[in-house]
Amino acid sequence: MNKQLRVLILEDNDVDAELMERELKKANITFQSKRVGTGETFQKELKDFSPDIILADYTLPAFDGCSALKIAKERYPDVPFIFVSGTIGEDFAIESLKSGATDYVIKDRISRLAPAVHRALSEVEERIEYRRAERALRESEARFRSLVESANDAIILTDGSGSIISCNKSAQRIFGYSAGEMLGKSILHIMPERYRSDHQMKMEYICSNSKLGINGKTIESYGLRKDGSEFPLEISIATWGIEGGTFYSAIVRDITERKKDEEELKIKAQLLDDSTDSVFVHDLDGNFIYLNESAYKSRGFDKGEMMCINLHELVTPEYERLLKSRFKALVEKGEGTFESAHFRKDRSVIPVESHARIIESGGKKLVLSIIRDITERKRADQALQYRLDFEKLITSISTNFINMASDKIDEEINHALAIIGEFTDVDRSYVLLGPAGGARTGVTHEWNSGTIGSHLQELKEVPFESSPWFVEKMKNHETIYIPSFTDLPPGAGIELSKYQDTRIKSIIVAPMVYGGVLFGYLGLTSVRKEITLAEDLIALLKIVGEIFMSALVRKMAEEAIWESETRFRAIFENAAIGMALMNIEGHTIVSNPALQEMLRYTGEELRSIVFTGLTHPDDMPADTGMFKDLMAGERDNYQIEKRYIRKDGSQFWGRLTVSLVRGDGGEPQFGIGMVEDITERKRAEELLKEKARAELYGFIVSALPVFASGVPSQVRNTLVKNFAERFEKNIMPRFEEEMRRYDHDRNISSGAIEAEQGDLDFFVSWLIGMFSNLGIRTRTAPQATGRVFELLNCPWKGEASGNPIFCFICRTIMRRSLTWTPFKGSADQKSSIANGSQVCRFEIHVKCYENYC
Amino acid sequence: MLNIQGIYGGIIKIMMERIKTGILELDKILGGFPAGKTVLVTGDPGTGKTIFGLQFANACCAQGLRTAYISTEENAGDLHLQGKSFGWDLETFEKNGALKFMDLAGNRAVEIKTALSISMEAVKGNFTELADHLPEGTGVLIIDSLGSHTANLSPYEFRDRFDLLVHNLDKMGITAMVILDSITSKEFNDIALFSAYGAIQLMKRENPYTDRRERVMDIVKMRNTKTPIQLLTFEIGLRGIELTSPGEVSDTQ
Repeated sequence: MNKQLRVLILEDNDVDAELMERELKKANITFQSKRVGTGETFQKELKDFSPDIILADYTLPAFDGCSALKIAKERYPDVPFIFVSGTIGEDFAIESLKSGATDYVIKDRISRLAPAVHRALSEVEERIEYRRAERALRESEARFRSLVESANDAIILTDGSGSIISCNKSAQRIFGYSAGEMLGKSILHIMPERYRSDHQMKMEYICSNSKLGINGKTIESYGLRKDGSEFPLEISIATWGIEGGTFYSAIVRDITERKKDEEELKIKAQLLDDSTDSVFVHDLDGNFIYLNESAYKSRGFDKGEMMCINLHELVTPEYERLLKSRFKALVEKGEGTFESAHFRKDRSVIPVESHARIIESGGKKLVLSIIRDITERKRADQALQYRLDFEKLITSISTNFINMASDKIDEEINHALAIIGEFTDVDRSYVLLGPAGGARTGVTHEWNSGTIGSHLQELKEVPFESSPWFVEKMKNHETIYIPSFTDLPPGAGIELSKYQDTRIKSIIVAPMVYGGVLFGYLGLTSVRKEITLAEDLIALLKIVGEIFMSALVRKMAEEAIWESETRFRAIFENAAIGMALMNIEGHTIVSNPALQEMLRYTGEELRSIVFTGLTHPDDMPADTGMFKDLMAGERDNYQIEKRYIRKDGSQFWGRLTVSLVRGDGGEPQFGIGMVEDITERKRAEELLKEKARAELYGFIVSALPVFASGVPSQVRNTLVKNFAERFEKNIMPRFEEEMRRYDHDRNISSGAIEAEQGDLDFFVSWLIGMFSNLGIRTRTAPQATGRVFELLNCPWKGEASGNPIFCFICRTIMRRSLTWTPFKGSADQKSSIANGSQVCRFEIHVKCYENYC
Repeated sequence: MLNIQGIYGGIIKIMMERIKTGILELDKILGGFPAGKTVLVTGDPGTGKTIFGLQFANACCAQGLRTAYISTEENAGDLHLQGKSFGWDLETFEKNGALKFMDLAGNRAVEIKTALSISMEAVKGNFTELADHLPEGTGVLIIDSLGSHTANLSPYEFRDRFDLLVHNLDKMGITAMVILDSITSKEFNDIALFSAYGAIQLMKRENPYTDRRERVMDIVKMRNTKTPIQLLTFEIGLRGIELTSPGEVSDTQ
């Protein structure tokens, strides 16, 4: 002991004090002592001397050991206090120990003093050491506690039995208990009932297997709050054993939010996986970061395989070239929609549409794409396009059949069959006519791809009745569509397959119906592959069949006309009017009895006579001119009134209508002439004309001197106007009378102007008569919108050349009279004899009416 | 995550190591007996000294400590039975070597004879022998009781010997519970209480409110330990000693 030990001795007896000091010296204790005998001095020295140890007598005259002990312990609890006394009473030991006495040495055994002092001092040292350790512990604990208290996680300590011995504020907050409510309680209290037995079992297992490391392991479980509610938690348990026990610390984190997030994520992930669209997340180099289930499954990969593939390898080369620029555009715009195509694992290709967006993750730009398989859409687009093309095709076919010459129909049907056959990619397309087709039955038209033999011969005789199923379908005008011929529908019958090529894969048969009657069918046959056609396309085929049929029916109808020639002949023979068939040269090929009667020739005789030989020379030029035009194909018919010369030389007026009959190539073949005897009408006309001519002549002649006189032009104009009015007043009633007589007035009276050729002809013939009465010869010829009407001589040539007013006579006649007709039009003078022309030429233009112009 | 294990490990190391007594509530109050120290348990007859001893022995074995139990009053068989009545399988502990009963009861006559025939030094030797003849690796010693070895001793002699015993045990690092009946303790003016590191008195008293006798425990001292001021009532229940009134803890050093 280096330091001097300061010993305070409370002893009234100096001898005893001496003894004590001697004992200490004997034990080689270096010390410094102070003796006190009273309470005052004890207290004073306690303070001033600051002893390391107190040795006290139990009984003192003015003081007592117990009081001294009390004082000392009160002020200096760490200073050891040893009683050194002669006697002690009952219960002294316990009392003094409880008061804090360190030891007790009996004066009779003073030799015990030194060991007692040693022990006391070592205890002090131990205590100081302990205090220091304790302080350090407290500090450490305080630091730790503040750490624990401020921790956001609940920190709960339990002893080996699971009793909570410590819990922090977060634990109280999370579980809803106060510290007091938690401490001492079993950990089971904060666990849902269902976990308790399991927990106990596990803890027992852990306790009995000390090697099992549970330290640092994180477990997810559920916690029970005071209010009975449960919440998900994450718990990390640490354990350590010290002699005498095992402790557990649990760090508990409320993961309600995280769980919620996790759930949400799980749901989102599930949604992503449930999506039929593929979802890719990849970087700008095309390395995949995320793929949903659809992404790899729809491409035939498992997830691992596809994650290893780069987008560049997945995309077909034509689109792969675009990736770089697309990524660039994406980065610039943030999002975009692209069409692309991906390889499946088996290298088949899926057309896709990708909606891509740039997302940021971990400071990196990534591409999130939602990719839709657009195979169906493409297919639909193609189907739609196919349909449109097919419709276009059908339209063009049907257009071709409009107004088609019947002799072209077969050719066109064959052409259409080829087009349809090629379009639908079948091997044979054909038209098969049934009994309703009349003379033409069996396969009448056919196209084949060359991979299949012709039907034309072998199917001449189609056993329509051999397959009742087929017939029934056809009767109902149903289309038969057998995509796969090996799967004939039940009831289709063996009969149908019997006459079919065994190689046939698909057939389509569309009924050809006209006027509600089934004539036959349009068939398509495929041997190379099975043909799938949408319903609407098959419906279109049926329309094609109908187009064919209506054309065929037209053709057959025309053929039927010729076939019913006998009926025609009967009409021809029994007609009241004269009829003749003339060849191109004008020879009569055949004539009917009525004509023979009119001309008094026999049919045989007529055959040898050219028609010109039957015509009055005056009418010859007009007739031959028009006949030539007819036979040149420039017109289809003409009508003329002309005088015929009979075998006996007598004449009669006939109205001749000649129609052209063309051959198959459109070339003029025959002329059919129909002759009506109009002698009676002509005679009546002549009489009227004579009368009218006389009147007009008188009128004109009376007016002439007025024209001839040299009147001033103003007066002349008045005269002209007067003449025109008088002309109208005098002549128009006559004209109308004639019109009525010959039934040309109906249009005038009805006001519904419907000009007919006859009306114009009548008007022209009236004009001819009118001018003829004035001694003016005329010539007329048809033109596109009317007639050319030429006056060949001028009775007032001398006067007219000096006085244009004479020309006005003819002009007035032309113009005024036109206004009396149903025609709307004009009669313009194009040239005049008075001006030196050969003829006075008028052009009558009438407004073009239907069926006429 | 806090390294809670590390922090707490450190704290526990700083704190004095304690050995569980086997009495749950007492362990909560004291943390257990200070390791390597001697605790003196005194008590009137029937207050449960031996039960306390056995309970402590059982707890020590359960904590993996090799325990020696010196019995001077009862033979091993009686103690096994007594332990069994509280559910302590001392026999098994003894079989697997955790527990060693040292039955001195049968030798007492011989000892007395020796004591008489030889010298006072021989009697003194008895005390040292108690510690010297312990099996190898003994961590805990229970002496039940020391009273039988105090015959013919003056208080001073007893004090000297007891001091020596405590000193030796302390040097050997053995945690000891020395049971001494109150009568013998009183005989030596309870002077042994000064020598032990801790001292517990078991008593019986009248409860003035219930008019019933009850057992109480007075923790007279326990160095470097927070001890309750008031008496702790206890019962001897199905599992041995159980405190019924957990005491308020104060720091009385």
